[in-house]
Amino acid sequence: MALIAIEQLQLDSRLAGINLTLQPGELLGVIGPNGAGKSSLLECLAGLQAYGGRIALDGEDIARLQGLKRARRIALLPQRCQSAWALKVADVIALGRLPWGDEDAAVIDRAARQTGVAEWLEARVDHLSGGEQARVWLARVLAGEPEIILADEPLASLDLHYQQRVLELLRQHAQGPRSVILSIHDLNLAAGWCDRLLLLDSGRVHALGTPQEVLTPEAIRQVYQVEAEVDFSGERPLIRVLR
Amino acid sequence: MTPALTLLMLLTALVSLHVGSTDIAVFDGLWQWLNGTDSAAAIVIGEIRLPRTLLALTVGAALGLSGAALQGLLRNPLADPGLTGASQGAALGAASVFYFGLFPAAGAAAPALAGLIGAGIAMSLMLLLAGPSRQAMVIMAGLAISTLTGSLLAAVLNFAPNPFALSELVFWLLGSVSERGLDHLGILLPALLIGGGLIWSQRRLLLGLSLGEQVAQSMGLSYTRGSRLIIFGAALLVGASVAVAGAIGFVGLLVPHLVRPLVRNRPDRLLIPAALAGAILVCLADIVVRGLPPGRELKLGVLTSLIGAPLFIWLVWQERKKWL
Repeated sequence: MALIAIEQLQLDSRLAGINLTLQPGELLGVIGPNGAGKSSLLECLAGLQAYGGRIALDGEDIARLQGLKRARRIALLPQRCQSAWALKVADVIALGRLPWGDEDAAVIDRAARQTGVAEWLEARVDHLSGGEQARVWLARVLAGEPEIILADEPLASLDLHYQQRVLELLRQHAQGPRSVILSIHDLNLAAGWCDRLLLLDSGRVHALGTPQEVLTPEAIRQVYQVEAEVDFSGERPLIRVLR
Repeated sequence: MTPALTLLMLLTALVSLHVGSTDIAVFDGLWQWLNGTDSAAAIVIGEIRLPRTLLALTVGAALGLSGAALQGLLRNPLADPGLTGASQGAALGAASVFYFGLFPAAGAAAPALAGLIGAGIAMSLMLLLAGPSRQAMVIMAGLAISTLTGSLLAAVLNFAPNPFALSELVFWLLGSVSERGLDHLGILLPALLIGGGLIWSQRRLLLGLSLGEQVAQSMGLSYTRGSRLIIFGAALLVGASVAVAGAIGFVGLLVPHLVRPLVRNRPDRLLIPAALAGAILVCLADIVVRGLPPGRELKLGVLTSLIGAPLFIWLVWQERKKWL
């Protein structure tokens, strides 16, 4: 059974009749131009928006699910993150345990080691570089042990090294019963890392399927208004903008 | 941290019971007062120093706690509890008593009672104006209502019936915990318990909000409901303390700053230590006020502002250095 089933999702003028399923173990990439509704879709799933339509988690309507119960299963990694206070890295990660109401040291430690931030636990998060911080925000999400991670453009403002590290962690998460929905701008990375892609355009589903099915020169021209060359024959897919 | 501060608070309270114009055995006096013995020591301790000490502690705790809560909610280290409009509302309410002679039946507690009502009205107006509160709207609405109540207060001062009423009003506004009885504690203590309880119930929201509203909400915490409870709790604390003791400046703003480094900057762990530190600070300031040479008394609120302002300048200086 699908982990998440979305039927006729509607959000004022931002999303119009989205139908989508998310399978266990899947890394689903959400692509599309600015304003296509990528963040709105993730916000509906994360309980931040009052939407029309139905979102079911394991067959259960999430609108009927208590906030904390939903949060234990679905976690959001927002586009921009910043700590208002000079918190220590350990405390930021512990924040991920809020839906559970505990500060389980073993889980926090595991999340820190997974993301490679264990050596900075006592450092102030605002003293870390952008790339290091990105890993701390991800550790916070992992500490909540969610089944589904909604990552909203987690690669923005990261250098190549950290982009790879974050993608590896998300790929690692999307296994067995767990899944990830990743909103992403870089089509090459999207094609290379995601199992399936959802191409949104003006709040509607333009295409949904494997990267090869979705990323056609035709679709890229229609949605992004650019000519592109698409090559899936090599080890990694290659999408090159011509003009 | 909390046990150390609790101990320090108890010590401060003990010193406060000792300090005064006459030398009195504190425990004997306390014992006699509790037994209902009609001795001089019993009266000095039970009727004068004990209420004064307890009021200083509760006012300080209320201000420290409300400051910590509001700074956490608004994610702004410069948020002052007065921002809710509650303190100006309380001042206006109390001033109206001096002016119109409201609630004669309440006797000495009339200004406090009217102050609490004034704080309640001001805060309700502010919440109504702020709407489904975004943090910037709370500050703007609070400022608007504070300005409104402030100008009404100025009008009351302007039309004070006689010079005596005017000076009484002004002195009351300067803030003090002297010449008040245990009946004032009857107003302040429930406010501290209810307001503190509301804020404490939302401590997880305060921690979650460190990373912004989106993150807090995605973690299943209700921002709209929680923020209203926090503002209501804070306004209750500030309103009650201004209603009872007048304006005691800078405590709500400064105490959270002083305590924050001790709790690793965590807004949820700040609450109780900020309440304790506020209690200690106000009680210490009141001890200083009593220790000053006799003559016209320096008002407690004036002293806290005199100490607070330079400390605040120092904080701004520290903050500035971070950006250079």
